[in-house]
This record gives sequence, C-alpha cells and structure tokens, in this order.
Amino acid sequence: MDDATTEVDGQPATAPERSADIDALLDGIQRESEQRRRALQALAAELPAVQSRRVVVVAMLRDVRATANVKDIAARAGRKLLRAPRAIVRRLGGR
Amino acid sequence: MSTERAGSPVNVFVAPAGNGFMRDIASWIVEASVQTGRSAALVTDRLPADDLSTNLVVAPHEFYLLRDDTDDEIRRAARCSVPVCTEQPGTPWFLLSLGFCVGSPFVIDINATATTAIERAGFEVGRLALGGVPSMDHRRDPDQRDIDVLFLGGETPSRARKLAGLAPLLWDRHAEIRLFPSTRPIVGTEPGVVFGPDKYELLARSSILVNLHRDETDHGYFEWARMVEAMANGCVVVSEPSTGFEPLRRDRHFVETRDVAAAVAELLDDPERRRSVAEAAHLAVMVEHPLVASLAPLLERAEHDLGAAPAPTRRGGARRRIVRDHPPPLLPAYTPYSDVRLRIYEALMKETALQRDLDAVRCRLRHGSPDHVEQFVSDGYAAAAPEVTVVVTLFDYADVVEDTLASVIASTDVDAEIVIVDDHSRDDGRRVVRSFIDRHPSAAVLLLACDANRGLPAARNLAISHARADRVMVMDADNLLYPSCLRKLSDALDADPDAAFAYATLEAFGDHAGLVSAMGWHVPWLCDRNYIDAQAMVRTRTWERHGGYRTGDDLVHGWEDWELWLRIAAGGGHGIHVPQILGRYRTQATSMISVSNLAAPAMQSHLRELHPNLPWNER
Repeated sequence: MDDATTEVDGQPATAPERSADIDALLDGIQRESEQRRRALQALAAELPAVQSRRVVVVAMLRDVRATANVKDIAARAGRKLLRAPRAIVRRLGGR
Repeated sequence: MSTERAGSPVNVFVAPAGNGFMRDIASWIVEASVQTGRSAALVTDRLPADDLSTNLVVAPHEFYLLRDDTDDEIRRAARCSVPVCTEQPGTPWFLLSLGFCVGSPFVIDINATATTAIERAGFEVGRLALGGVPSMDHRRDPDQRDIDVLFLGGETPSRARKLAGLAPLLWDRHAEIRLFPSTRPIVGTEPGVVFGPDKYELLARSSILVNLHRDETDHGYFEWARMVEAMANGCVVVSEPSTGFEPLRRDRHFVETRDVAAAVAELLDDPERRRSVAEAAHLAVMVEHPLVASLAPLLERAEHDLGAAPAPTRRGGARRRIVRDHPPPLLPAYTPYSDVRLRIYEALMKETALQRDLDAVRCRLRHGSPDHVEQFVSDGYAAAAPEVTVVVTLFDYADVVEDTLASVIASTDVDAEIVIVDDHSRDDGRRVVRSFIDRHPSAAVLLLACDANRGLPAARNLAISHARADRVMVMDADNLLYPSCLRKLSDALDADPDAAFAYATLEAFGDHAGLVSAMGWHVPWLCDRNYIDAQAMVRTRTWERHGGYRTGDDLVHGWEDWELWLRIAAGGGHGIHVPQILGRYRTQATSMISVSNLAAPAMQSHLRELHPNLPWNER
C-alpha cells in the first residue's frame, strides 16, 4: 500500500479515499479471520477432551449397520480397539 | 466376662501423620477413658498387640495404610483390637476402612447411619455417641465472640452453591468460610485448617456454625464430631436437615432448616435465642451426654470380647479383603482428539494475533502509533491520594461495566482510585465509562482508551503501570465488589507485610452459583489447579518484582493469573486469603468452548517447565 498514485475508477485517489480503501481492505481481512475463528470453534466443540470408549464402539457399530463400506469401518475400529488391549497389557505387566 | 481385662489400660491407636480429625477423636477417647478410672494412652508408633490392654484403633484404614505392615500382621492386630470407624457411608474411605475390621470382635462407629451400614456389611457393631470431654470447653463470654458465622469443611459444589447464598447476608459481618479440598487428606498444616485447642478457640470465638452436607447423596449425615465441638464451645449450630442426631433434639440443641440463610439471619438478630440454644446444647454434650457415658459400656464390651475366643464374623464380613488403595482405572483416559484440539488452539491463537495486528495497523493509520492510548480523567482524579488503585479491564462489557464501577465507588472506609483500560471494545463500553465519569466527578477515575486491542494480560499491565497507590485491586469489568472488600483486603496486607497479595472468597453468580477463590494459599493445592481468581489485591512492588502478567506466550493464554501466582510461589512469596465472601464473580452459560481447555495438557506441561521447582503432582 505504499503506492502513492493508487487510482480509483481511473482517477488518482484522494487521501480520504485511500484511507477508506485501506479500511475496507482491513475490514475484509478481519471478516475472513472471524469466519475462520467461528469454523475452528465449531470444529473444537465437536471434539471432546476425553471420550468414552463405549461411545466409540457404539458409534462404529452404528456406522457398520448404516453403510456398505464395512471393510474400512472394521479396519478403523480394529485399529482403535487395539489400543485398549495394549494399554491393559502394559498395566498388567507393571504389576 | 473375662475378668483379667476388666479395667485394663486403654491404648488408642491412631495414625501419626493421617487426617487431623482422627487424631482429635482419638484424643477425646483417651480423655474419656481416663474419666472411667482406667489408664489410657495415645499410641502412634506400633501395632496393637495381645497384651491384656484394651486396644482401640481409630480410623483403621488410615492407621494401617500409613504403616508398612503385611496383611498377616494387620489381621493379627485387628484380632486384638476394636476399630473405631468415622467415615461416612457412600464414600470410598468407608468401604476401604471395612477391609481392616475383619477379625476384630466388633466395630465401633460414631454415627447411627454408619453403624447400620456396617451391620449390613456383616460386622458386629457398637455405636459411640460422641459427647463432650472437659478439654474441649473453651467457652467465653458471648460479648467476646468476634466471629458471627463460621463454616468449616471440605469443598464440594453443593456446599459452595449454598454458601454463595449467604454472601448478601455476610459481607458486612465477620464471617469465616474455611474450605479445603475434599480430595486430599488434611493433616493440619494446611491454611485455615485447625485441630484440637486451636479449633476449640475458633469455635469459642464464633456465634454460629453452619453445617452443610457434603452433597445431596449423603442422606443427611450428621457430622457428630463438628457438632459436639461447636456445642461444647457455646457456638450455635445451624444445620440442614439431618438424621441420626439423637439423643440431641432439633430446635432445642441445634437449629435445623432447609433455608440456612434465613435461619442465620434470624439468629444473628436474636441474641436471646442464640443464648438459649447454646446453653441447652452445652448442657447436653458436656453434662447430660458426655463422651464418657457412651464410651464406658463399649470399653466393658471390648474388655470382654477381646478376652474371649474369637467370635465367628457374621455373613460377608470375613470375606472382605484388605485394599490398600483405591484401584486406578484399568485403562487411561481416552483422549483421541488431543492432537487435533491442540492444532485448533494454535490456529485460533494465530487468528487472534492476526486480528490484533489488523487493529494495530488501523491504530497506526489513525494516530501514527500502534500503541495510541487516549486518557480521560474525572474531576476528582488529580487531587486524590488513593490507598488502593482498582484496575478494571474492559472488553465488550458495555452492559455490565457500570455496575462494576458503581460497586467500586460504593466501597467503605477506603480511599480508592479506579484505572480502567478499554481494550478497544467493539461495543459501547467506552461511552458508558465516560458517561459514568461525567456523572461521578468526585470519584477518582482514569480511563485509558486503547485504539488497538492488546489482550487481557497486557491491558492489566498497562492499567497497573498507571496506579498511584502501592496496592492494586485487579478486576474484570463484569465482576463486582462488596463494600467492605477493599478495606478488609488492605487490612490483611497490613497484617502480613510479607504477603505478595491478598484475596477473598468470591460469590459466583449468574448462570452458575458457587464460590471462587474459596481456599487458602497452599502451593501444593495451587499446583493441582488454579483455584485463585485474578480478582485480588496485589502490592505494586510484587508486580514490579515479578514483571507483571506474562504476555506473548500462547501456552499461558487465559491462565496468566495462575502463572503469576505460580511465579510468586516459585520466588518464595505467598498470598493471604481472607476467608470471607467479599466479591462477586459473574458466570455466563456459553456454548463456546473454552479456548484454553483445547490446549490444557500442553499448557500444564509448559507451566511445569516454567516453574520446575514447585511441588507438582506426579503424573
């Protein structure tokens, strides 16, 4: 924005016009940032800090029933559920 | 009857480093045993042995757990002793304690509700109705009772909610609301916690003791120990409805009510009623039903049963295992989104930084500097010589900031100035403050109007840098003070010249009632969580020494006050708690997720790295 000869509609812009342009530009950036913030917050609200394993399993069973893509869901469920036995083995091994 | 044990010496076993309440109860049993004509001693350093003495073990789970004995040794000790249980049914400690009772001829408990539960668990049981012992009585003249209302107990959400309801009644009285965490054992070194003669002195200074149940699930458990101590010291008990208080009588020996605030208000205005209840209660626990009256038959039973062949334990009891700790969950907490949540947090912080940069550019275009601050002062500002500077940070609180400022200038017995920073609010807040200044010309008010948003910690630092007093009360623009707050906090700093800051309990109001900043300064508690709100009176020299609130560090965002308290602790400083409800903390239901919570694990790790020498809990 250091070009002193900014033109609006073919005429050199006056200082107040340039200032209005800059304000409009900044307002636009601000609006976009606000939109991103809202989107991020909405996303965060969907992701709990701690989740019940039971809820995960129930959700996966529901997915399996609702979709044809059983193979992918089963693989994903397997990966997630494997974490539990590993944790149990680690815990029991420490006793 | 086994005659060889009749009148035998009584040994009362209790953990030397356990909960202080248990040591008090053990000492009363020793004293009452001596009143029966027996010799008696408190024992903390060995297990009970079959040596013809009458052994009582107070709070067996604590006594045995804090030693390093085998299960066999514990069982042998249990066979030659009678446990005295004190825990409330429904708590994990109650179940834990039963495991250490197996093998004993019978179990003693101090509460009727608990004796029923123990009997149901398969044990023979005897009830020890707690009464007074002579050493408890520290009564003084009613005119010398300087504390109007006292509460002592573990902090629970239910208690906090009910105590908050007392705030409008108590701010101009001398109240002491002494809370401590319910999750840690209390050994007596914690702030506000007293035992033995110190506790009796405190009760003797108090007119009313408020008794609130731990939560809605404890079925009106009557806190016998606390009641008896209060009654022995002429302090009137106001309690929520309870069970198991017989032979005491409600409304004769204590006041029972569902509306504790109304009952306290009535009693405070009725010294004659207080006197009659206090006298009847004192007579009941010290003369009509002293501890010795209930203990004597139990000692005789113990002498008989300990000398006899072991009786078969009733159904279920013998099968109970010794459990040395509450078992941890088999699986750790499942946190599948922690990485994503941290990335969202980082992205949000970047957006915040971008918006501040935009604000700074606009400010520079308008004023030639990104740090431009416009100042407005009231007519009374220049001539004021304040004892306290109240700094208020304002960002989008146009609808409530006037109430906040009005609560500050309603302060009594103190010369205060207000420095308020408008951190470039997007609403009408600046105009509201200027209008307030115009309408209160005699108040000393300085408005620092920023044209670029700095963020809360930087705005607070800016306000404090303009303070003229040597102590600064930090406030947010949506919170309130009770009129006595500034005076009492300032007095607390006068009384403790080494204290870095002073804070009072706050009444949470709005969408969630409760208490904030309700516990005394204790560094181990502070490492567990931030229980002290920023609304505190800080010496300006503290702020100068420590460099103010930390800015520009995304991993303390929203936790800058906690970080400051930790920094003070790490530097050897301390805060002082005034255990009265002297401020109000506005709560609002919001659907917006707390930004700081998104990165809580990373932020906690960061705090540990910043202050590695503090007594952090093992993770």
